[in-house]
Amino acid sequence: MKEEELIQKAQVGESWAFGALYDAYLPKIYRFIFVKVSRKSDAEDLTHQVFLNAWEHIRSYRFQGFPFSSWLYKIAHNAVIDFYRTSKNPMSLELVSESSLGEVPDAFDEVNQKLNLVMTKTALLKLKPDEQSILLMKFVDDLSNKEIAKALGKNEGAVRVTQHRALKQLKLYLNDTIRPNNTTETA
Amino acid sequence: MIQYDPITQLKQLKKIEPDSKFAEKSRLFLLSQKPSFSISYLFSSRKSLVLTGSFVGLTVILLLLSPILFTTQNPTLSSLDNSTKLNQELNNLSINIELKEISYKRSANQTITAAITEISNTQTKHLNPSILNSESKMLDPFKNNQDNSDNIDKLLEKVIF
Repeated sequence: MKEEELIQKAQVGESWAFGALYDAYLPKIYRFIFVKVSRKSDAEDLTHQVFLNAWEHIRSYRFQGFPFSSWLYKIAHNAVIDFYRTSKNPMSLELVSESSLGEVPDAFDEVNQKLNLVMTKTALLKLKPDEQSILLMKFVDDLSNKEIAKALGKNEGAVRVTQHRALKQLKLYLNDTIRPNNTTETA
Repeated sequence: MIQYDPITQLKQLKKIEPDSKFAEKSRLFLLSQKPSFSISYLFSSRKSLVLTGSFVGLTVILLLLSPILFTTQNPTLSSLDNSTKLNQELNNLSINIELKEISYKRSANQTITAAITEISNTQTKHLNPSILNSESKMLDPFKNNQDNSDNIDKLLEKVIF
């Protein structure tokens, strides 16, 4: 069944249809949020909140040439911003510490992979929220510039410029990141 | 010296997956909730917009036609439509009532005035019983009777002889 049909079914209250949408988008939204927040529990809470919000307001969604995912990403993006706005501990560098390795998903078996993940998250969190979102949507979830623009309420040109600037900055941060054993590797 | 490519590092993040227990629990809870109705649904799709528009249009048409649909044949009621005429009639009615009242009061005043004048004037002969009484005493009852008898006798003589 096409996504649009599933959405129409969900809009008339057919929960099985929303369940199908949930299964399709959960990994992407969770990933998007997990990279941006410090703790796994926070990522799970926010992900659940995003889908709850989407289910409650499913009838206000209108297909206007961009996929359902853009709408979900918009909700997720705003949820993370609100989370940091209301949180007592804003974005912190606790990811750098060894204890944060416990928060790494099981898919990252090797220590090297875990370290890489922590390093990437740390570098990414130094960027502005919009820059983080653009890079994640583009390179992790493979959304088009048009879809990203719709999700963030920007035009495609602005998305391209921001993406280019963010990649350049991320490269600097990655090659200037403090490793957990406190050694510094610079470009 | 290791140089990290940002795009390569970002693509590593694709491996991140949610915990299966969390996913199941969250899904169960979500699907047990019913979404609340939102008025914006009326405008959320072309079909619903057409239906909503049709309903609103039909309501407007019925409201516009209601004076025609519920009008009666009673001609007197048609004058109720003309509020200016009604106001004029009302004003005229008020004036007429006032004029009649004035006329009545005037007439009553005249009668009362005449009565008071009559009562107050002691020279005038009138039907006041106490006055009649006093006047009657002034009259000679026998003189009148005798005069009448004489006349009757003369008449009788004429008839008999």
